[in-house]
Amino acid sequence: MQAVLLSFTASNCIIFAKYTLFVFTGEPTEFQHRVLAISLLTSITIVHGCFLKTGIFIQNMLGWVKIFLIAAMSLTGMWVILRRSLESESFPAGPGPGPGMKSPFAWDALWEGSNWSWSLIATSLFKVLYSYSGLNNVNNVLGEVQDPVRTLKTVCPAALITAGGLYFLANTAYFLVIPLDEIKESGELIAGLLFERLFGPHIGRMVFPLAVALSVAGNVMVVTFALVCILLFTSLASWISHIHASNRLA
Amino acid sequence: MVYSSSTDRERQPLVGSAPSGYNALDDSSTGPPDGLPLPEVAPQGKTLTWSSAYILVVSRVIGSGVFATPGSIVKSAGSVGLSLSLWLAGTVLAACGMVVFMEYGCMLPRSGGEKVTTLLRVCLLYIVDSSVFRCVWNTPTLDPDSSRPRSSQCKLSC
Repeated sequence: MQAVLLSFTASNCIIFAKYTLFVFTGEPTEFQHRVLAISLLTSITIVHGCFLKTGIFIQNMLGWVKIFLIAAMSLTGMWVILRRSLESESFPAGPGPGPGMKSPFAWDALWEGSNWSWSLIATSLFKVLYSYSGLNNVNNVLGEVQDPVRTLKTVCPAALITAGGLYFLANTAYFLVIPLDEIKESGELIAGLLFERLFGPHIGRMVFPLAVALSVAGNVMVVTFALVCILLFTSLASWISHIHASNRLA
Repeated sequence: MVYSSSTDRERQPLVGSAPSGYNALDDSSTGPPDGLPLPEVAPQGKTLTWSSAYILVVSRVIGSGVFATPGSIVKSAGSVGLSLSLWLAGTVLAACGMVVFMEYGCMLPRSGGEKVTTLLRVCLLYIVDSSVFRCVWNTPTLDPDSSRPRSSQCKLSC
């Protein structure tokens, strides 16, 4: 079973190990990464296998913490910027250009420097779609859910709205806090920049990896849970050979 | 042999020749060998409440991507407006995919996700291969010995 699980969530486990070790030790080695990643996966599997209720409880806690963390991060960013702009408005600098002049959300500045190449747009769209992958996760565990059809009908839209809302909040916070040129330079390190600007270089450097590690740990737990359900179900129904047959035909 | 009582129907390939009245969804011979129906409920009982299921989906969707993806999208899109509209378009597309999976899940409320719907896809193959469909769309047949007529027995409305 470990082998099956490893092939699916290995990259997330390694991300978790990297960020956790980054907080607690200065320069972790490759070996430490792997040990931590494998122990994370093993412990999650044991928890889900032997203590089902505890596993679900931990999973729920991690999920709520993650939602509140991202919401808090984005809202803090917006709040800081709003307060700053309100303060600067309270000291009017004469009849010059309005305070919203240099805001990145003015209509013309919003579209400045757009890159309309189709290949880049398609690649970005795929990235967005990939970050929404997993909306069908509840389909994998429908046998475990109370009142499956009604739950499915409400859970999926609610999850989509939550995820979409959080993504938009995070995006807006990034754009408000960090100047556009710096975002373009940093690329994928964007959240690290945000944390440094909000909480200062020292605390930010501590908080950011912890946030990522928490988020990824929750993700690994959920994926493992769903996978166990799939394995259980397919083995129960003795469908493995059946699926192979139909895949060959389709 | 323990299961020596295999009928002719079991020996036939799944798609190649379906006996009339065959419905893959209701066929008990695809279940466990001792004739148990397909389990709708996990053996340990239903353990997930609404909020657990909700967290299960949200936690799966939001991984490490929320910290990294916005940056790389702005990098390739070049402007705030374009990247926000890309996010909007992606959300709409994801919603479309989600609706399809909701439909599948409501048809067959069992564990297994895409593995369950694999059977549905076999049913779709029946429809594509059926005579009416082939007359309308003029698709080549998938059946090697297509001399005998065949109709679609699959009922997709569960």
